[in-house]
Amino acid sequence: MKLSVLIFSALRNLMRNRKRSFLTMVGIIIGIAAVITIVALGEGYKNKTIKDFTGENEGKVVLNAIFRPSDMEHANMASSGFNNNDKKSVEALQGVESVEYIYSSNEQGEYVDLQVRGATIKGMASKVEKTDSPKIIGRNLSEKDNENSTRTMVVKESVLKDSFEKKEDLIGGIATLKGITFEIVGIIESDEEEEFSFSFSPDIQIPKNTYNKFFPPSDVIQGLNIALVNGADVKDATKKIENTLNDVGSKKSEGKYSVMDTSGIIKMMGSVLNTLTLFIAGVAGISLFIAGIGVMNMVYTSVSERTLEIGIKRSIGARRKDIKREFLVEGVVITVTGGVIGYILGIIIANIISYFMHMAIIPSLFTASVAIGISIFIGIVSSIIPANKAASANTIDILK
Amino acid sequence: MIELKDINKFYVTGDETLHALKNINLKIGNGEFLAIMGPSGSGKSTLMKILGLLDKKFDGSYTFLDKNISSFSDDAISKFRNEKIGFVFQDFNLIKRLSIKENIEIPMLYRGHRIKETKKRVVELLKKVNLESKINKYPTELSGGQQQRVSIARALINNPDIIIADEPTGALDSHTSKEIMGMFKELNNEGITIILITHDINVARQANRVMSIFDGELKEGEF
Repeated sequence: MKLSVLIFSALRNLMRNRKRSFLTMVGIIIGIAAVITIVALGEGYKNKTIKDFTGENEGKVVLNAIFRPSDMEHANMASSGFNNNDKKSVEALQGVESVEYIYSSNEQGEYVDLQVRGATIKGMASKVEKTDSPKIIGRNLSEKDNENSTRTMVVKESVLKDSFEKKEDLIGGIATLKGITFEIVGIIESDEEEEFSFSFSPDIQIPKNTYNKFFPPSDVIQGLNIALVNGADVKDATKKIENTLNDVGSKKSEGKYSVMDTSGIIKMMGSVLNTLTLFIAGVAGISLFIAGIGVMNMVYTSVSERTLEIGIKRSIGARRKDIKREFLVEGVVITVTGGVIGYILGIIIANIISYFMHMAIIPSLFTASVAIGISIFIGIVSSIIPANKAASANTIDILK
Repeated sequence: MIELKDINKFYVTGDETLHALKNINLKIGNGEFLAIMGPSGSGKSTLMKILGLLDKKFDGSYTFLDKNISSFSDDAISKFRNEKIGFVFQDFNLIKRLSIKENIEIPMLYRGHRIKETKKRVVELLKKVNLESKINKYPTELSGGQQQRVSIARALINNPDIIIADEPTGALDSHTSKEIMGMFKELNNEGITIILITHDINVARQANRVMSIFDGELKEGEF
């Protein structure tokens, strides 16, 4: 019997036994949906982080070199720690594919040192039109602040932690950022939930116009974006570049160059995701295992229900392997149908979750083949035993 | 076309051994219409299963279409059943969850045809047994006589050389029996060899050649 005929008859049986087939499928649907959700999210997350950190150089390891002057107070902000010679000397290193300047366009914000009452706080500063945090000590930044370019800022409580005893006292206090003094008008209380969310909120917020007025988006070179050749030893390269810059760098006497491996951040976030993946994989695994038993049970039931039918088919010319294939295909058709439904469900769930995580989920060939592969595997494993039983049974004897 | 030589068949149940067929010798020529008559328990169903290649476990030699089937694999025998033999059973043995069309086309599908290719042949055969209008009905919606005609259509679909009918009229009233027997005669006239197993002497007498079996022994003629 042709495979197309087998699949057609299996689908026909499935439609004629809609309820029973659907109930058998539920386990597969849940299992596959769980697998696809986590795989799709993982993929989407990976794409997002790679894009965020490496921009055009997708998939490549990109290092960031920055310069930190030792005397922050008197450092000339307009000049940079990097010049063309530095760029060339890094480019000349083995394992480095390309080097580009990072200009401080400050569109998203930048990592800064903030001086408050003699203490230095490190944090991400960003420019905003206004703030509207509900849990704030003092006040939020208003649109007026922005229009008038007032030198005000709100600071997140979490970055102030440990440095000051009474945070309330800081309201109205002076903070120095890149040599410019600001008034701290509000402190955003830390939000417990935020620590678990994936969105990064800036630590220091400054009105946009103020920021642009005092820190114009100049061509100041903030650092170097260094892409490594594929397969390069990241640790080794990081050290080599750092040493080179500190040896020959144009500003080596005024501070320290450091090189960051941005993939480290990806890895750290990845490990959070990995724990989650493991948990969901466990749920999916159990669900798929139970589903497999369900399919086996259904195929067994079908075999015993159709003993006479098998006898009739054998008498009119079905070979043992035809009978075996018939039940095997029936089992696989059920799991694959369940797999397809589960896949669609999984992509929908992943899209809903990704909406809250601000990333895009695209149905990929990889996730689709994972779903179909697992379904076919479960279908074959769970129906091979009953199918063999059906084929080997001496069913012709019962014919009259 | 069929030759049985010294066929013996034993059924072993526990300590007891039943000698179901005793030294059967039988030759059936091409185009014959043979009736094998016997009461229940005489071994006629056992003989029918051997003749129809449904049972390979016997002593003696069986030559089917000039081939000794004892050397054949299960797959080869299945192919023979599919292409050379048509079966008609007492209980019709139609598959209840399948429609009439789907029942009739099964042997063709096992032969390797696609579902698209079967429709024409199925309609042709349904015309022949006067059941064209029932193509999309299910076996339970048909009377006994109609079901038997469907099973004849199924037996004919692969153009078999031989039809083996085991008590084809056993579950039918006398009027429908006559109809079915008329059909077998017609098929025999078209050249198909027919082996009819029955316990009814009136049915057996409509065949060209009658043999009787009793306690596992086969002999020519009526009792």
